[in-house]
Amino acid sequence: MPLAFAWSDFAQQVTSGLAAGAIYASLALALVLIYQTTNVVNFAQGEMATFTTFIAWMFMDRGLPYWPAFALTLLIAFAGGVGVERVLIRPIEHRPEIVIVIMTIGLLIALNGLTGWIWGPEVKAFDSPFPNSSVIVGGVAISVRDIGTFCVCLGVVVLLWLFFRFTTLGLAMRAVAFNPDASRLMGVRVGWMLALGWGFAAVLGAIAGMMAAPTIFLDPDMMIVVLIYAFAAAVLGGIDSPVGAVVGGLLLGVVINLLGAYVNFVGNELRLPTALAVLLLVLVIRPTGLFGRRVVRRV
Amino acid sequence: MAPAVESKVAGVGHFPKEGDFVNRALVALAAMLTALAVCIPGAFARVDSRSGSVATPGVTKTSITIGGTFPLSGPASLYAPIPRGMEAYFNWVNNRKGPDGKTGVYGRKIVWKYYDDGYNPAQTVQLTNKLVLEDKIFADVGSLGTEHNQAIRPMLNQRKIPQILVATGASYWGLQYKQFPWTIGWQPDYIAEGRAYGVWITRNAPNAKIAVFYQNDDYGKDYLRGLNIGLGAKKSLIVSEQSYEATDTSYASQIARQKASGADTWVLLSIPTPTVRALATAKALNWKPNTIVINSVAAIDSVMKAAATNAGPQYVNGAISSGYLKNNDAPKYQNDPIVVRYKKLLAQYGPQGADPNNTFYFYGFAKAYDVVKLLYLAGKNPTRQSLIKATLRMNWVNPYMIKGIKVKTGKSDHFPISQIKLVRYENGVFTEFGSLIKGR
Amino acid sequence: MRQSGEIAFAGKQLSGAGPDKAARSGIAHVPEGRGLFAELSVWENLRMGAYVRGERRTIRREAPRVFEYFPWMERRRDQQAGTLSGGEQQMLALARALVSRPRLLMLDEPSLGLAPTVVQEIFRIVKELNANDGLTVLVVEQNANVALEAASRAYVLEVGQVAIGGDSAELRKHEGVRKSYLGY
Repeated sequence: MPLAFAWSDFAQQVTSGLAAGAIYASLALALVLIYQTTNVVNFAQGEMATFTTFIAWMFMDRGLPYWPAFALTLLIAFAGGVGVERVLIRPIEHRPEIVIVIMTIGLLIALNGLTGWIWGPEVKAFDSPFPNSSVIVGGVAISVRDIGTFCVCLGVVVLLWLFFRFTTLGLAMRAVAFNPDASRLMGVRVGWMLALGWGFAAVLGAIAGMMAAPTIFLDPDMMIVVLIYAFAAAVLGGIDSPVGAVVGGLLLGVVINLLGAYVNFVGNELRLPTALAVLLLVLVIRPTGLFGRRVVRRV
Repeated sequence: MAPAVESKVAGVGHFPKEGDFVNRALVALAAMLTALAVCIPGAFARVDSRSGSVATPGVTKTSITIGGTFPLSGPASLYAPIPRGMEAYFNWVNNRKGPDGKTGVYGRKIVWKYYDDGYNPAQTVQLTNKLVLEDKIFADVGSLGTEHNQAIRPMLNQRKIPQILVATGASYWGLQYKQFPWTIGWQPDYIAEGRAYGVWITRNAPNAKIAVFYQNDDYGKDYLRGLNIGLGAKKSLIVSEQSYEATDTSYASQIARQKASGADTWVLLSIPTPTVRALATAKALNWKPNTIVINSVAAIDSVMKAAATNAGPQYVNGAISSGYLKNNDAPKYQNDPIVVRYKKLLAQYGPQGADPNNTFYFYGFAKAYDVVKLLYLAGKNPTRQSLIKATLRMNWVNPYMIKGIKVKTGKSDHFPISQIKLVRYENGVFTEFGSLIKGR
Repeated sequence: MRQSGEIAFAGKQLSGAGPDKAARSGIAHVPEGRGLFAELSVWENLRMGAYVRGERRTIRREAPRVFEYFPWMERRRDQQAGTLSGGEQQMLALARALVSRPRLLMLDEPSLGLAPTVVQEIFRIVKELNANDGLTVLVVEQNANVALEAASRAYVLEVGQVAIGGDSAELRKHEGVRKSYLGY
């Protein structure tokens, strides 16, 4: 049922799209981090996020305040990510990529089952540090929680960018992503950098999970669909481009909303297929994605 | 196929002393063909129907075997208490002295076989085959899930095995009885429930502006159809219809449009998790309409609690839904003799540590009550035919249901329960109000 | 393939250890093909050279010294390394190795694919490093003329065996070497 066009409705669609997009962006960035170092898409990324979000829920359920639980969860996520790389990925590092992909799919299934088994299938409310209220700006009700989610996700992205840009460890991790052999010659312990990459990706996933859970509610399957969007966002932006992942995520969130609201034949049913069709088109025109790496090299 | 298998097996017996390669090859061949026969349902069906004339499968002098499939694990495992509640009730029936002075039903113990299909229809088919071929059940009873029951319906009907009191409210169990006479539902169907909401709105809020949020599949559309039927001439009250897909992670786009439509009454024809998401999203968008949620949302305690935690108790207070069972968790029913007895029986015959406040054990008891009634109605020497005939002669009061609701079927009425009571959510519980509404 | 023997550097065993351990014990290796980080900037490549000795402190101390040898690098520090010319890339690889203040610098085929003037320039710098800073340099080079001119000791490898070895001035006079490798 299309409405007459009004700027306030348009703005409403855009702002809520940005909030959803920020979550896709975080998870997409996690995918990119692992893709850059391991050259595979980590299919278990969503389940890792769900699992850590449940851990945060458990802490809060036991009475821990939000931020300590948040911080503790990030630490656990980091250790978990490093652990997964060391224990599961390391031994098959030099096998064909398909083997690693199968491993991550196995991890997806195992974690999903484990989450359901430990915490049960009932839907759970998840606390948010931001109140579920709204501010009205020019006729647009902007959810305070959406603003908070957006700021946390983007804040983390900026922090990560600063980390990679200005710290020694960040530089070394980038170097390993680009050229592991040369990094070894520089004295870098490459294996550990890969593990760190998994650790950071797990942290990003945990943040995405904890930001998504208050609105989509906590259940063992909550990130499965988010991962599809995140994957689309990462591919749209260029699977090896962190900036692309973020822009791709935000763009996807907004475009999907606008398609559903304003393109009649799309409606609510065809939003995802249409967005994926757009994605395909982008890839046909620009196979490396919007921000994909195209290195200029002279020999 | 079946006679061929038998002649080959007999053939092996005729050459016991040749005992060399030929013999072993024949044994192997026979084994292979037997395995094949087990795999091909048709092979057994024929054997079954022949032996069926002699004795009814699943019925002996001392026992009667029934079975069903349920999600004991996986995404829908919160329904796992249903078969366990039924089990507790059957255990009690097997131990008490019935109206005929014997334990069980006419002296036959009820053997209750249920398997975990993980809410996966492919598993349902496989496990139902197992129930039919290995466990030789008399009837498939109370299996859970719409698609799941749909998946096994043709096979059970083809073999003339009763598929009764299925745990799903899709309307086709009652509507398609001509095509599938061996299948019947139980709970109020979704069309009936949707209709009840429509009727209530026309009577109590004739000037409402309605926004409908529905799941974009048969389930949501059944509800929507019912709502429209209930509204009748007042259909134009609906100012906004928005659907959601299972793949949506945010409903903000749809709900913003519903808010913009100026609606003041919000009918949420959505399953539990999407419903809480939608409520939280509406709160975030600063929209506070009167809300109606469906029975399967109201039935799960954790759902409204999650919504209340998220959006604040004020926001969800006043939400309207419907029910047909007594609310075993509500203060109103704590001294109800049936609820008191249910708790006692569950503690005695149910699984260790079963939570008596869980709705689904209670649902299991309510369902099992009707199953036992039907088994008596099927007669002292029950056959599948007599059981399915009995399902069309149901006419009694099930004490586990809200006062006044009758379980009633007839030649042209294949909906055992079609009366509904509306309930309102206040301070953490759903409380009944108004009179019974006839859904059909 | 059967392998035996051992590799030791400054009294420490390196056999079986990864290249990162060799780097941490003070060996800077400029591999054939340079091993630059093409996607990173000139400055970031230099920072990676400093990684092994504590990046921040080391780069601050070593960068001015390296820029004395390669003044152009300071002006173009933000350029992507992959966009440098071949000779510039070889110089950057060399500079990156120097930043780590190695005890041993190993150059693998530094002249490969470069114009003669560029090769001359690179070897001039290597010689200067050796003379001024007392840096030990091990060069593997097919261009025997240039290599022998720069080196003090030289070895001729034939099919994986040291065929001749000794003072490079003497090797230059050696008849076999002259005929086979120097071409006169």
